[in-house]
Order: sequence, then C-alpha cells, then structure tokens
Amino acid sequence: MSLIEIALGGFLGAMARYLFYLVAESRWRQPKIATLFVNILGSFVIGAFVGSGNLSVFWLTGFLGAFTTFSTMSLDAVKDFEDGKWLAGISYLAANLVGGLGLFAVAYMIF
Amino acid sequence: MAGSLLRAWIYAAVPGTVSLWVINIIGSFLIGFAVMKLSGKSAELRLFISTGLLGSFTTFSAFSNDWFRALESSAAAGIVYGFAMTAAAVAAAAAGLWLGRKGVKE
Repeated sequence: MSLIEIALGGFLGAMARYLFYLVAESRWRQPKIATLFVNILGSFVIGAFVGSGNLSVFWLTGFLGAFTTFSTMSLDAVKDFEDGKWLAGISYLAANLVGGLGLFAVAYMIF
Repeated sequence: MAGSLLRAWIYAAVPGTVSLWVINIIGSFLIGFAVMKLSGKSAELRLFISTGLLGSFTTFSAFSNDWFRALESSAAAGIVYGFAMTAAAVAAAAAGLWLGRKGVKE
C-alpha cells in the first residue's frame, strides 16, 4: 500500500517540479532558478510536516522526495565550474543550502 | 515515480542516514553520465531520465531534514555534514560528466 502512495506522490512531485522548470525556462531562460525554488520550498514544507509530527509517506518520501532534487543541483553547479564561473556555482550551492536549511528550521519551529 | 520507488527501496535496504548519501551520490553521478551519454538523443528521453528518473531519485528535502538533525546534535557535526554531502554529490556529478564524455568522444 505504501508503495502505491510513494509512486503516486513521486509522480505528482516530479510533475510539479517540471512545471516550475517550464516557467523558469520560458520566463528567464534559466531552469536552475526552478531547482533552487523547489528545493527551498520543499524544505519548508517537509519542515512543516516533520514539525507537526505528520510523517505521511505519500508527502515525505513520495511528493517532496521527488519534488526536490539533489542531482540536478549538483549538475548545474558542475556546469558553472566547467565554464570557469566559480563564484556563480558556489553562490548557487550556498543559496540552496542556506535557503533550504533556513526555511526547514522556520517551518519546523512554527508547525 | 520509478525514481521515488528506487529511493524507497534504498531507504529500506540501507540502514539509517547512510541511505541518503548513497542516493544523492549515485544519482548525481548518473545524471552527469546521462547528460553526456544522451546528448543527441530525443528531448523526451533526456527529460525522462534526467529530470524524471534521476531528479526524483535524489532528494533535497530529506537532506534538509537530516542536516537540521545533525546541527541539533552538534554545530561541528552539522557543518561537516552539509559540506560533505554537497561536495560529494558535486564531485560525483563531475565524475559522471567526465566518464560520459570519455565514452562520447571514442
């Protein structure tokens, strides 16, 4: 049963992330903004779930697990590094880390 | 969907907080490798593998959660955790790109 919840949540989370890519791509020609946004937003939401004691596998392992992504973030940073844009790559990683942890903590305390 | 199920399978198979390291490092390596191996393939296939499968397999939300826990236990453990996970995943993605590129040029 929980496998179905994880699969369905994962499907919806990945689709939601893809929608943000489409918006970021068409508006700013910059899909990495979408990765930053989903990672920070997803960290806030998981903070709210964990803070309130709701450990739903549909939301945590399924939806939020797939909505947020580590691999795309790593790849985007490596592309910056390969282009010699060290400051851009480091800033991008820092924004993900600080934003994600910060909003996780805020939501965890509030909920 | 498949990415989330694979992630759940590793959660079940690998004990404790080690599972997230396995997931994010392997996923980051594979996305770098896939970008090179799939260049020139259809946009749908690249979207399915990179954004869909590997994007969903790795996760940032559980990382934020585990990182917060590590910081709660000690500031030093937390700082090491955050830096090490990020550095390991970035290095894995770079290694994946490099290995994929070697194959592409042959």
